[in-house]
Amino acid sequence: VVDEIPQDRVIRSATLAMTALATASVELGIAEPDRSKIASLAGAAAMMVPVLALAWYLGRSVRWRPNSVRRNGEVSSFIVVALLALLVLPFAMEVGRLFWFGRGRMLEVLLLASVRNLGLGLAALSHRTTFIRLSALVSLFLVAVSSAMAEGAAMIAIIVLFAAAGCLWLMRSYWGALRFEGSSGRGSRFPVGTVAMILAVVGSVFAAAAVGPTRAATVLAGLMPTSGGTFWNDPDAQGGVNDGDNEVSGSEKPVSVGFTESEIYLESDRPSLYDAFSEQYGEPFKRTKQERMIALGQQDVRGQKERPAENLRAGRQFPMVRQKPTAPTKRPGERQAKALLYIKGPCPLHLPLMTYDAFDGVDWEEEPHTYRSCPLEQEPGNNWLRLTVPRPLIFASVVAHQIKIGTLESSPLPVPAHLLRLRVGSVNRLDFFGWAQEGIIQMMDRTVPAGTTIETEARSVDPRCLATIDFTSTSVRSPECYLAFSDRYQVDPAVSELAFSWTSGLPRGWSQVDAVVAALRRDYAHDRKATPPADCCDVAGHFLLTSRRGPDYLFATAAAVVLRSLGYGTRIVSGFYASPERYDPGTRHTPVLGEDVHFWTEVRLPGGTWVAIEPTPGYEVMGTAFSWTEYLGAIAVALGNWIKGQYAIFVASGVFLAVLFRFWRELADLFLTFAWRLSPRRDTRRWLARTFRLVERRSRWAGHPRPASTTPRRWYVPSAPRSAVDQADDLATLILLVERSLYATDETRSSRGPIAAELAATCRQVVRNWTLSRFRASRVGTLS
Amino acid sequence: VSENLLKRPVDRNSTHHAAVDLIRAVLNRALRGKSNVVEHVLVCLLARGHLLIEDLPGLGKTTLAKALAHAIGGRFARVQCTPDLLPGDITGFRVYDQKTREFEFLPGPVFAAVLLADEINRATPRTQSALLEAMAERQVTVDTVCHNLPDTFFVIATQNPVEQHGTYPLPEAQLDRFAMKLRIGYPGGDDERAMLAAAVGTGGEDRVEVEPVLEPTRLYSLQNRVAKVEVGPLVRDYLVNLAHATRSHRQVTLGLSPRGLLIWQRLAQARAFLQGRDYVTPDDVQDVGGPVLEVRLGIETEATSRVLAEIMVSVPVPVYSRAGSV
Repeated sequence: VVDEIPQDRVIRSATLAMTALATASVELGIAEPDRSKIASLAGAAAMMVPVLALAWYLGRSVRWRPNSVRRNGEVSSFIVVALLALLVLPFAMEVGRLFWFGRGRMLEVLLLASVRNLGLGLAALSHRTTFIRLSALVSLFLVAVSSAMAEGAAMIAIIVLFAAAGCLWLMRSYWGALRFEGSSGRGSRFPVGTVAMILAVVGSVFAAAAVGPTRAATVLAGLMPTSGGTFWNDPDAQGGVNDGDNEVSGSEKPVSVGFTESEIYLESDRPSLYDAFSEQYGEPFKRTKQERMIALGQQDVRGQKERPAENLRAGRQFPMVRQKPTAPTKRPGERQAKALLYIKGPCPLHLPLMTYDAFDGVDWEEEPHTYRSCPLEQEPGNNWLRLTVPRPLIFASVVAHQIKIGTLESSPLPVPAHLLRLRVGSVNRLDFFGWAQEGIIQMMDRTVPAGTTIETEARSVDPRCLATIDFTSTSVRSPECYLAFSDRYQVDPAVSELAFSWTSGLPRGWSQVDAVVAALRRDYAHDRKATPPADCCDVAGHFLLTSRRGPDYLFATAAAVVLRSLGYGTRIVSGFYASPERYDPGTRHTPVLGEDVHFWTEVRLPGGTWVAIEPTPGYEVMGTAFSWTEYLGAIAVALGNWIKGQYAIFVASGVFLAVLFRFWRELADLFLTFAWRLSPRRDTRRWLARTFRLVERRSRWAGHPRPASTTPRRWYVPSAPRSAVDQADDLATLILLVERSLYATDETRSSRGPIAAELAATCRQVVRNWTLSRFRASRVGTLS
Repeated sequence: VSENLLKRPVDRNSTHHAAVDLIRAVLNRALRGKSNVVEHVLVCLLARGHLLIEDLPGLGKTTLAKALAHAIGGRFARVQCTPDLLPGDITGFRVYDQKTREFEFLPGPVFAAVLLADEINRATPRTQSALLEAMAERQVTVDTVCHNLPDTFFVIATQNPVEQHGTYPLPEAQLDRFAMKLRIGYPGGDDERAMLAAAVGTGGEDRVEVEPVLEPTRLYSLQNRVAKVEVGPLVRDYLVNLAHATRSHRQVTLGLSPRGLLIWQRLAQARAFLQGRDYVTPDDVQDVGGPVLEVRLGIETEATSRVLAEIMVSVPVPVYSRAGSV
C-alpha cells in the first residue's frame, strides 16, 4: 500500500520532464526532413498537454480517493488495455495512411512512435511508483535511439537537459531509498546546496570548454602525441602539404576541383535534355534534303568541318513530327535507370528548361536566348541569391525545394518557375548566371555538375488571383511573337471554330484559358504512341480534329495554338515533370527519370509574367501553397463570419457557459439531490449510503473534502462527544446511523426492509439543512 | 428493521459501565488532566493487555499504577528493576522450612493483580525474560512447578527514555507482549495549580487513598464482555490493510505481527465498549492505533510519529462498503 502513496513530487516532475524531452527528441528524430524543428517541438508539446493534465488529475484524485488505487501493485486490466492500445495506435493509423494516401512510413518510425506513446501513457500514470520507473526507462530508451537519428543544436540541448533531469531523478530515488540510522535526523534532508554546487562546477567546466578560447580549451590536445595533423584549417595557407582554398582559387593554373572553361567541351556520357527527348518521344524524322553538287573554285574550298552536335547548335528546333518511341530495352530485373534529378519538396512540380515560341505547323522553334544577365543579388552573409524581379499580385506563399542534379547534363537550371531565391552549392558569383529564355535561368557557358544541390524558394500561383486579371486592355497586349505563327502556317478555321465553341459565353480572361484546358483534358486522350503521320503539315489541326489522341507535346501545342487563336500570348515549355507517384519514402526524395520529360504550355499575363497551364490529362500543376499565417487568417475570417451569422446563439451559449462555470456545483447538486429524492428506498443501508454520499459530495464541492484516511466522525463532528447519541446535530445522527449500518454486523444482516419514517425524516433533514453554502460557511474538517 | 437502526439500545446505563465509570473517576482523580491517558489505560485493562509507559521521572507513572491496582481491588506489587535483580526476585523461590522439613514456595511480586515493573530496561535480559512467560501465559514456572497467575494479571512497566547508561533495551519479543506504549507528558498549568493546592496540608507520603470499586471477578467478566463486541467485515478489512501497510512501509524494519493485529482488534473492541457501542468502528481502530504500533514497530525514534501518521494516512477508511451498497 505504501508503494502507492503519492510519490515525491520532485521525482514525478523529473519523470514528466524526462518524458517530455524524450517525446521531443523522438519528434525530431522521426520528423520528415523538410519539417521545421519548431513544428516538431510544438507537436511534442501538444502531446504532453493531455499527459500533464491526466497526470495532474490522477495525482489529485489519488490524494482525495485512494480507494480508486488497487493495492499490492496490482495493475487493473483497463490500464493494461489502454497502454496496449497506445502501443498499437501508430500501426492502426499506418493502415489508414496506406489506405488514404497510398504511402506509408518506415518501420522504425512506427516502432519509435509506438514506444513513445507507451512512454506518454506511463508518464500519465506516474502517480504510481511502478509506472514512474517504467516511464523513466522508456524515456531513456527513446532518447538513446532518437539521438542517433537526429542531429543539431536542438537535439544536443535535449540530451543535456535529459541528462540533468535523469541525474535529478536518480539522486532523488536513491535518496528516498536511504534509511538514516544515525540518532540525529539531520541527514534526512536532501542536500540541495551540495548538489547545486557540483552541478555548477561541472556546468562551468563544460561552458568554459564550449565558449572559451579554442586554443586554450584544446591545449591538452596539443600535449598529446599524435601522428600529425589536426583539424585546423587556414584558407590562406601556402607552401605546405595542402595549399589553402584561397590560394588554389587565386592561382593561374587551378588544378583543384571546380568549374573550368574547358569542362563543357569534355566528352561526357551524361544525358542531356535532347537525349531524354529522343529516348522518350522517339527520334525525329531526318528530312532528306535535296542537294545539288556545284563545283567550287579552289579559292572557295575550305577545310571540311564536322557539323556540331544537334545539342550544341544555335537555333535548335523541336520537330513535332517524330518516329514512334522505341520501348526501353528490358534490363535485368527491370532495374530503374539512375535518376536525372532528385527533388525534395512538394510535388507535382514542373521544371522548365527550354521554351519555344515560333511554330510553323510542324516544328516549334526555340525561343532565342536573351543572354541577359539575371537581376540577381547576393544576400549578405550566405550564398543565397535573390531575384529582384517585380512580382505581380497573383502569388500565394513560398514553396521551398531542394533539387539534386543526378545524371542530367544541362546548362539551364532545372528549377521551378517564379523563383524568389536560389542557392547552387556554394556558388556566389553572380556572373555565372543569366537568362536562357525569359524565366529560365542558366549557368553561363557551363553545365551544372552532377551531385550539385540547388535549393530554391519559389512563389506558388494563387488561381483566385488569376481570375481577376484583366486581359481586355489593348495596352498590355503580348508581343507579336507569342501571338502569331510563322508565315508558312495558318490556323485551320475549324480549329478557330472549335476554340470559340469552347469559350462561348465566357468573358475574356482566365476563365477562357481554364475552359480550353478543361476541354483538352476532358475530350482528348493522352497516348505517347499516337504520333502524327510523317507527312502531316498541321499537327495541331490533325490532333484537335482528327486523331484526338497524342503525346503531351501535342496537347501543349494544341493548347498554345487554340489560345493564340483566341488572342492570348502563349509559348510551350519543355522540361521535366516531378510526379508525386514517384516519391520514394525510403530516401524521402522524388526522383525524376528520363521518362519524366514533359511539354506544357505557358500563358503570358498582361504584366509579362508567364503562368504554366497543364492541358495534358494525368499531369497536374502544383497546387497553391498557403503559409500558416494565411491559413490561420482564412480560418479566423471564416469563423468570424460564421459567428456573426449566429450572434444570438453565441451570446446565449457564452452566458450559459459562464453561468455553468460559476455555478456548476450548485446545478450539479440540484440535479443529484433531485436524483436522490427519486431513488428507491427499499434498502435502508443503500439509502443511508446514498444520502451520506450526497452530503460528502457537498462537503467536497464546498472545499472541505474528507481525506480518505479520516473517519467521517472525526471530519464532520469536530468535537466528538463521548456519546454521539446525545449529539443533537442531525449530521452527527446521520453519521451514527451510517456507522451502525456499516460496521454493526447484525445490522448488515438485517438491513433489507422498508425505511422507517423517522429515519427518512432524519435523512431529509440533513439533506435540507446541510447545503453547499452551509458547508462553505462551516469549519468542517478544520478542527479534526 | 430501520426502527431498530435508529433506536438501537445502548447498554450505557448497565452496571458494566457504572463500574467502568467509577474506575475512570478514580484514575482521573489520581492523575489530573490526563483523561486521554486514563482512557487508554482503561482500554488496555479491559483488553487484558499489558502497558508500557515511557516517560520522564515524576510524571505520575507509579501513582497511576497504584491507583489502578487499588481501584480494581487487587493486590499491588512493585518491582524496582536494577541490574542485580534476579528472576527469582520477581517470580518467587522455594525455601526449606525447618519446621515442616519441606521446601516451600514463596511467591514473588508477580503474584499480584497489578504489577508495576519500574524502569524495566534496567533489569538484565535474563530477568526481563522471566517476566515474558508471566505476561504472555499468565503463569510462572519455578523449579519445574507451574503456578497460575490471577486472570486479571496486569503489568505496568515503565522506562525512562533519557538515561541510557547501564540499561538493557527491551528486545522486540518482549516488546510485542505489551499491548500499548503510552506517554503521560507534563500536565497543563491549571492542573498543576490544582495539584499544588490539593497538596497543601496533606501528609508527606504520597499515599493514594482509594476505595476498591470492583472486585477481580467483576473485572474478569468485564473483560469477557469486551471480547464479545462485534467487529464487522469492513473493519476487519481495515485492520488487515493497516497491518499490511506497516509491513510495506520502507522506514519500518519490523512490521505488525499477527499477535499484534489480534491485540489491536481487542483494544479497538475495548474502546468501542468504553464508548458505549457493541460494534467497532474505524474510529476505535485509529484511536488505539498509535500506542499499539508504537510499542512494536521497528521505527527510528525520531521518525516514529511521522511514520505512524504516514501509515494511517495511506489506508482509506471503509466508508462505502465494497460489495456495492452504493
